[in-house]
Amino acid sequence: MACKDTAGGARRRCLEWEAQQRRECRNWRTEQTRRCDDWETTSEQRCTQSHTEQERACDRWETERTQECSDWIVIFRWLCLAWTWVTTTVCRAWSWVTKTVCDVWTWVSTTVCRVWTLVTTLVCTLWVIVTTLVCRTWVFVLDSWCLFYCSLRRLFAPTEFSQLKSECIYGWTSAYRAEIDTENCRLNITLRIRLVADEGVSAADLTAGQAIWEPAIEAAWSGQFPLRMTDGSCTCEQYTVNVDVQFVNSNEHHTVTVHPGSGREDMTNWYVNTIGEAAAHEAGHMFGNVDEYADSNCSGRTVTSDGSIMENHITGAVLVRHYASFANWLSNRTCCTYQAS
Amino acid sequence: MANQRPSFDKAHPEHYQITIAIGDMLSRHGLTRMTLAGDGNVTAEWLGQLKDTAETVKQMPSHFTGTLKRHDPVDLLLKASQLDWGRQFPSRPGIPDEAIVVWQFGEKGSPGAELRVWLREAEQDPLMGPLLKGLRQELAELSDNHLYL
Repeated sequence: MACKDTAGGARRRCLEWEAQQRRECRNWRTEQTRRCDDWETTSEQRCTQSHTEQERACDRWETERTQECSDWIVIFRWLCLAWTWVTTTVCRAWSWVTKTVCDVWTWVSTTVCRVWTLVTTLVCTLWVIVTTLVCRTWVFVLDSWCLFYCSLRRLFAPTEFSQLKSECIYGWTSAYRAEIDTENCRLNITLRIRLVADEGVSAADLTAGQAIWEPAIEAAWSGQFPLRMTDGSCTCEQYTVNVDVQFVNSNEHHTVTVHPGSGREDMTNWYVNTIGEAAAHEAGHMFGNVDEYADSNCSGRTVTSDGSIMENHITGAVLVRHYASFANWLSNRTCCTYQAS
Repeated sequence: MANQRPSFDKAHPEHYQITIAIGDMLSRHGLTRMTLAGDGNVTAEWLGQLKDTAETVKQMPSHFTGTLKRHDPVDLLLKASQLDWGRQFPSRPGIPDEAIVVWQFGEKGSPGAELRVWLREAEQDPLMGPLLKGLRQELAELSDNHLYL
């Protein structure tokens, strides 16, 4: 997954986590508060009910005892009534005490419940704050890493691209200018070549050669395959490659010596009679591609037979793999992954 | 093959020969081999796989024989004998598609000395360059520009 996506995903997950945790804390507090309220109500009802029953029992006791006392003779009646009054008073006092104890217990237990609710809600909130902080710190670290990583990748995709290449006993420098046009989703590749005339090659020969080589290279290498984004989130889903060959007198990417007649051209030595297809093959090296034909001096080479321009410039064409250098440059430049397809 | 400097007896050039082979049979330009004998006889052949049409194969002869027209064989053989035969290959990485030149020099029938060098190095070498240029001119004439080194 692309770096930017990872950081973006982490940021999103952090927000989701925070929202979810806050919601759970809120639900917990609501539920706990309800339980405390229920507890308080139930306890109060229980106390009241108990007190009422107790009062009723005391009243009944008093009534019954008073009735019994009325049957007694006067002197004992008074004693009986006194006793009844005392026991009823004790009964009511007991009822009041138990009611008070019950109320106190209700208040204490409800308070404990509410304090517990407060404390746990506080802990929950703190947990949300701490975890969100950790999560956001992680996102910050990821963002910083992404910034660093993408900046580092960008170093490998300078506008004036140059890279040493080697294969078996061959070695060269691949160089070109690459610019992205995000408005038109186009990757513009400029190949500046300085032609040096060998002995026996006139300015007219060079001009005639340029008229053949430039369109041949541009036609062979431009717009063959789109570079599609396979990972990341960048402005353009796909880029079109546009190759522009410029023959210059200075500030060149490559110097090519043009020899008279025909001969064995290589990347930096062409002949007046070099055909456009051969120039397009040599341009392939300038873009960083290796040869794909059999070479007895290069036994480790991958020899292809799928119609590649790097195997046979006459019958071959630019294939998907030949855009690898462009795709790699684009990926490094944008920090998204692009592949030719 | 011995790589020490080979001897050359100017009095008997007919006993010596130089062979130059450029390229690779498997490469797109194939292998061009040219042999110059001290008596001025030249043979040249092209070996390779034509990547072009079958018609071109028919039209293109690949073997030529003749004699030197523009150069003195003794002069060319003398130049060949003065090459740096102890030179090590490769002296540098090759340019993509760059051909390798293989020089062979010695008495006829003997293995002689062999020297391998990158084509562009051969062209720029003060001793090899003029020799190569001379042989190219002769081959162009001999093959009517069909073959090139």
